[in-house]
Amino acid sequence: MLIAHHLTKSFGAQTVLRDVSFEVHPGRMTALLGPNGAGKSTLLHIVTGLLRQDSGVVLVETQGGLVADFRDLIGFCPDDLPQAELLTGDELLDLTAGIRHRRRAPEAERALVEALHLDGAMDRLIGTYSHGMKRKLQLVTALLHSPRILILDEPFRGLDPESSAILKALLAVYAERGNAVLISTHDLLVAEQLCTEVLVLRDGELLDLSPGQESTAVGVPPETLEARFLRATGIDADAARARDRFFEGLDLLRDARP
Amino acid sequence: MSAVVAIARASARGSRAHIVRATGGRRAAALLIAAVLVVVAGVGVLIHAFLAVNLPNLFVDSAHGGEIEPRIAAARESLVQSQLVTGAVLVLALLAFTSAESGLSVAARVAGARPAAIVLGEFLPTAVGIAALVCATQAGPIVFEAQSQPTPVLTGAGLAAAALTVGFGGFAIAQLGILLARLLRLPASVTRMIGATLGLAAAAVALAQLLASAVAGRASPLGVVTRAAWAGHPLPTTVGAVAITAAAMVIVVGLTALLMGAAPPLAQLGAGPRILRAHRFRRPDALAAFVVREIVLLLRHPVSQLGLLLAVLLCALLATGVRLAGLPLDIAVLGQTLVLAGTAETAAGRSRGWQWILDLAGYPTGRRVIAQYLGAMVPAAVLQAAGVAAMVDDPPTFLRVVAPALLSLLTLGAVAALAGTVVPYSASAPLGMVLTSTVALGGEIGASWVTSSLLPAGSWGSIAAELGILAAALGAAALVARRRSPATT
Repeated sequence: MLIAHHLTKSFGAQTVLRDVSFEVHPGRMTALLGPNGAGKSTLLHIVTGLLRQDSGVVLVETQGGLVADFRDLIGFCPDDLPQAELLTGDELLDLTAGIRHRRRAPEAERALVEALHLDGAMDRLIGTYSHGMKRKLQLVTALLHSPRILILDEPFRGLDPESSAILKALLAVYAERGNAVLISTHDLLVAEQLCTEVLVLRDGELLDLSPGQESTAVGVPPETLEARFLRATGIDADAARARDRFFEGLDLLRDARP
Repeated sequence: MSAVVAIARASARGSRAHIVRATGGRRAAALLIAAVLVVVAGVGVLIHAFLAVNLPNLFVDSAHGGEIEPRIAAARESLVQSQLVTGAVLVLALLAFTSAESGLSVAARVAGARPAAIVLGEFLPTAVGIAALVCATQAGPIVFEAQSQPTPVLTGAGLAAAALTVGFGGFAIAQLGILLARLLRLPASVTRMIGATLGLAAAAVALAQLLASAVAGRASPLGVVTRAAWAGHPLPTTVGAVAITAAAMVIVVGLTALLMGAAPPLAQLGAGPRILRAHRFRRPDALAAFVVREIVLLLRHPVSQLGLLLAVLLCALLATGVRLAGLPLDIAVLGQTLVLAGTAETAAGRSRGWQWILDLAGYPTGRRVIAQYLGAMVPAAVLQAAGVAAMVDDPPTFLRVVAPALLSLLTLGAVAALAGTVVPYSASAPLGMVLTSTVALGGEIGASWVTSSLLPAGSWGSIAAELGILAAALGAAALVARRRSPATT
């Protein structure tokens, strides 16, 4: 189990995370939702050790107890970080094995590469890959050391429907094997279909996504995740305000001198 | 605000943002730029002092109204012209890594700006950069040459104008080469290489022509740009030089604008063809595996490829100078060392974006810095040895020269690696590499001066000083890299 406890992070005067606490459980998939700029990527970078928090702690529960140094237990597929474009796919696997102090496992690698339809591309420079291929290669490298916790930042962004379906299936299998999976996503449908737990971040704070006052009348469907998300984040009210400002801006532009 | 000014301002702001981001903040950027200015001024003073000690009377006689002896006049012309061409080579070498494009071109075109306005707007900051580089490299000698003339200010202005003409001329030749390569739809990295090669080839031709004129005892055609400065009429030189420079730039800007639609844009450097294959080691975590991977990355990276090409060309020029023009071996080897040490400048910057892969697994920063440094130094050492071999004939002399040269290379390479870590270059920032190279070159010259001037060459003290600088530079690079790592911020 991964435990994040009272995490806080600021960049200068801007506070990005405020007292964020949550748990990610083995055998389950957890979705991290939130609008743009909510602090999702910052939170994932802190959890994976790429960024240092100002306060709070991240721990992983192992058989020997709670540990703070868990780099070998985590696999991470970032969304916004550059790739080693001048290495080939195979050379990236070699690099990953090197920095993890592990021998290459050709049979296992081949199986993963074939599962993700990357066979035939491993000898090409990563710079020539499509966006989807890069994401899939990231997943292979994240899995090479058999992590118990897999963290993915926007894994479905830019994937074609086929790749998306394959990835969903693979992640479900990975979680079923007793591993914890944490996914940051904008796709509410993915979160609803795949994940058993949902975390919502807004302006650096975790929100309560408990169901609202649902109708108990027969025939009235329960509130959807999307409806709960929009209500909890206040995005529906924001959208109305944005629409008004947009019209105001268009009117001002029309009246402005060239 | 006109489109030209808007684009020029945006381009300049992009460069400024790159410097601030690369150095870690406004205060650090200001400190760094102040340090660069001090180093540049110091180098100018050093060159002035060198000329004053070694050629005290070369420019004095005309100050007293006497006739200049033809032999002295010829020596004076040769010195000044070769100095102008060398300055142009330095400017070209620094500018070869940059694009005159700021990346604003597409946005400006979408916004409806004319091609000429876009090209001119993107060119203006580069032109200011060229002028600043020319003035910085030529200030020391020009002050020395002009101060003893009857009209020192006018003569100095005439020589500065001549220096700008040669600098902009070299840039124009390089840009025309780039335009031609773009028309042929060659890859961006190859395009830059062709531009740099053409510019340096023009400089080599100019130097060869200077040499031939000196050997034949006749005036060099290149003297047109400087002769009038000594004749007491520097104004025509200044006006003529400015006119020639302006004409060359109008041609370059005009052709670039005309070809904007026809030639593909010099896009941001991307992955080219795969060169070599990183040998798969039985133990992928061995340091040798990381060093070999860095060598492969160096040979695949477009900016490093360009740097290696320039280094080879400049080393060839220096070797030719030793063989044909009596260039002192020590000076040539030092020049070669300074150029090749620059290979380490890009060691940190070229893979900076994806260092998170190593950080994620907790790979030690010091080990990464050493692997990057060695990956740059292995090819540089091979080229250094080849360069020295091209300058000397017998094996004992080769061994006597190459051993200290390699030690200096390793030391100056560590200084360049530190500079490249403190101010990592960015392929997307116009003039981004110029700052990295200027800082590296300043550091290399400073380190070289400390080890060669303060201590007897080849002494144990000098060797210890070089090893000390090497260790300190790599240690500092590792510290800076660790501080820059996101996990420590």
